[in-house]
Amino acid sequence: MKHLRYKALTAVIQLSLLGIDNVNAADVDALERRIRELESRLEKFEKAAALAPSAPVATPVTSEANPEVQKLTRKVNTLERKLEVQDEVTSANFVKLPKFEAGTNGFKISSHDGKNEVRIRGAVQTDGRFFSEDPYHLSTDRFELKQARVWLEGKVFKDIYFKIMPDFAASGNILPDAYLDYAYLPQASLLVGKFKPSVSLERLQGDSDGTFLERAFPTYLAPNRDVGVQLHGAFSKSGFTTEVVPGPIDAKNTLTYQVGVMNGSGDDGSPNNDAKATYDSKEFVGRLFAHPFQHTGYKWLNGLGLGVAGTVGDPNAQALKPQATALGRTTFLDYTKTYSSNAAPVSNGDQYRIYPQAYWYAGPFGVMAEYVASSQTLRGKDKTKKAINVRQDNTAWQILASYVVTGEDNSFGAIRPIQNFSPLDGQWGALQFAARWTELDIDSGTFKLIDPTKAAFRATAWTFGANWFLNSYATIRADYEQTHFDGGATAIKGGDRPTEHVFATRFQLSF
Amino acid sequence: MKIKMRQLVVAALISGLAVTPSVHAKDINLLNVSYDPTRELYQDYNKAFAIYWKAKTGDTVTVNQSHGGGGKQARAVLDGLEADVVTLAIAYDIDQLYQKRKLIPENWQSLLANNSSPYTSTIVFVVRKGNPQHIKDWNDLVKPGISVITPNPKTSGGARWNYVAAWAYALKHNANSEQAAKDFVTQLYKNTAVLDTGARGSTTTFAEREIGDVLITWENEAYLVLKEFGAEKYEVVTPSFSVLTEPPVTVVENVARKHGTLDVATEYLKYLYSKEGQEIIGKNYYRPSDPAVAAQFEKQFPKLELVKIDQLGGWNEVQKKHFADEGVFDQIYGPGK
Repeated sequence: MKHLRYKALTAVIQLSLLGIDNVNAADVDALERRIRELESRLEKFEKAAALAPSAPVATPVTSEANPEVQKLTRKVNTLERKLEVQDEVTSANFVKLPKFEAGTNGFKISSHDGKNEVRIRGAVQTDGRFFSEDPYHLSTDRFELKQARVWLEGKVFKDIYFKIMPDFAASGNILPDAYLDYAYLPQASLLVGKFKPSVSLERLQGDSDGTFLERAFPTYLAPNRDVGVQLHGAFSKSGFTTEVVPGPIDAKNTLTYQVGVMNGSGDDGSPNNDAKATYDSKEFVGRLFAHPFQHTGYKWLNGLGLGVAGTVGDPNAQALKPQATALGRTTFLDYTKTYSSNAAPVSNGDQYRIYPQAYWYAGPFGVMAEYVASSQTLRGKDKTKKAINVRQDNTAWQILASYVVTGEDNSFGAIRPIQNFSPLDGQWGALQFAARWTELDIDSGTFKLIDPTKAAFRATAWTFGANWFLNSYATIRADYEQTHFDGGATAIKGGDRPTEHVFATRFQLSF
Repeated sequence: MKIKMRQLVVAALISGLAVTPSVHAKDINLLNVSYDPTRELYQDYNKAFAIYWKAKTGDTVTVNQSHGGGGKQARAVLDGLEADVVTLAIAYDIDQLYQKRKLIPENWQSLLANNSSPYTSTIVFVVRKGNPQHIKDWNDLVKPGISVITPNPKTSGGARWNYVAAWAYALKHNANSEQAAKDFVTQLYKNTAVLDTGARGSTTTFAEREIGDVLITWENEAYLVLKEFGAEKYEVVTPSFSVLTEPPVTVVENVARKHGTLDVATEYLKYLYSKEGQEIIGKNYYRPSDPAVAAQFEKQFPKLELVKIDQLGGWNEVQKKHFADEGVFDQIYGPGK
């Protein structure tokens, strides 16, 4: 009984601390004191009753017959019952309290029934980039704040998911993601707002989950963010549950699809908050991705994913973003470097992209590969200032491989160390090594509109990287990359732009 | 040729019949969310209804029961408990299912006979054998030193009936003076030892824990105390005056439609009005609404003067005035009052 009483008392005190109106800690304290007094008196009476037969009293005294003892017993019973009822009320109230969680999945508040929740998430990426063998000072050594994001994501009314993610380190697009996803069925969800269009596999990977500091060339021929509507869904092998995965990427289910209509933001495009659509005909996006060996018993092929994505659009006078090196982020193809100060060419007319893509994660080993064939019509002026249209067919590809040497599973998502970094305890976190080869080929027709002595037509880069996961939140990354160019530097080197050598580091906190 | 054609038609019809899907008996589950003391009633009734439904349709129906304080049960349904039917203590609680979530039609109370109340009951007292405190009527409950057991009107429909009966008694005996009635219920709740969350909890407090001199409870619950805990230990005292309780029932149409159980749920409640249903009601010490069946059980229900809730303004008004936040009950009962 004492246990029950203290349990109830503790619960009541906890509730009172939480501000529950109808629980008064002072009353409970008084009640508790009163019970102790009554118990003390009851014990005295019981002792007296037990001693009664040997005492020189004519009439035997028993606890059953003693009205005072009966009275006290009833009082104690009443108080105990009151505490039981209070315990019942308290327990019922506890069940209805919202839940607060803090852990490896960030910080979350959810309603007692799980139908409503808000996760508070954040990411900070601080980088250093250092260029060697740069006699022409084409690049600048620098420290930079790559990302500073705090965002909210969650759901309301069970299946309306949302994400609102500002980036305080961004100079133009300060709101990368802001979307709603009505996921009533896993097989058909409706995503609306601003998000990553489902095109490039590496672009769809979480911004804190990439194997290298920066993505490879294929990513930059796809739109970065766009505003539009997307229908998406997933299917699982018969007998397995299809998981609801809100948002633009689903790397969990067996077969996933996305079809969307977007404004069309161009290669590596990411509209600012106030950016308006530039053409009426819109860009159509589609993607199909499968894990063909999921749930088949082929353990090592379970993490194999294959897919293809594509876009079709018809932009009208859409500005073109420059192309930069993967890790160094140094521009080597600038569409403003035209002949005779002509206006920069624009994308104007039929445009399409095809993105075959794959990854394979098996134990500590991981591979990702992606190819893109991108075709668009450029309108601009040639050397003679004559307005012309040029068909630009660009291609890019990449392949990367990575290995986690400390025993953790490799993943398209975040890698969770088995042991968090704690050197005094002999724990060092997780360590991953990676290598990548990537190439970008720019259509030669482009140089009818821009000056080939100032823009390279091919970039080939290889990269080595190491990622040290201190815990689920903190990561230290270091990459070295060499990028070789074809063309682009007749003025300074007589032909090709000098090879870029860059060493870059990142300290990242992401929760 | 004609014969051949006829044979062909017959063969086609036979083939058609052969591929027509056969109708299989179904297993149906219903959830009846009810108030605290109706466990035994619906245990008996559910068995009878399952037999009736099996004979009528061939389907096997299993009715699951959920019981608790009526107010609490209504909130559970509002919070998402998927009840096919609700059988609660007061109409106000059921009406919230329309007012707050439109789970039932606005005219739900007119869909079944007697304002959707298949039985009535009243509020009586249970005292310890020999009635040592000589409790005969409501005014005995407010005497100094009397320990009363009644549930909390904030969570229990039955408790609200108890309160209303006491209030109406005080009005009647004090020339309709609301102040006198307020003083009366104030003293009554001062004498209350434990406020359980539901009627069954109060029964436990009084009969199992042997706390209190008198239990205010449903008439059916009072007789259950005698049956379960021994007529040699307790007595039922019927006061001179009480309230006519009319516990209503309704199908939670939105949920039943979703479950595909609308027809069986409707029939489940209609069968409460049948002769067999009414007899089960009478056997469980609820007052049947069918006059013929009520006559069969006349002897087990003492006669007393009964006030109807409508005479006090109806449940909406009573709820707002007495049991809403800052209502009369909040004014008279609480820590330090």
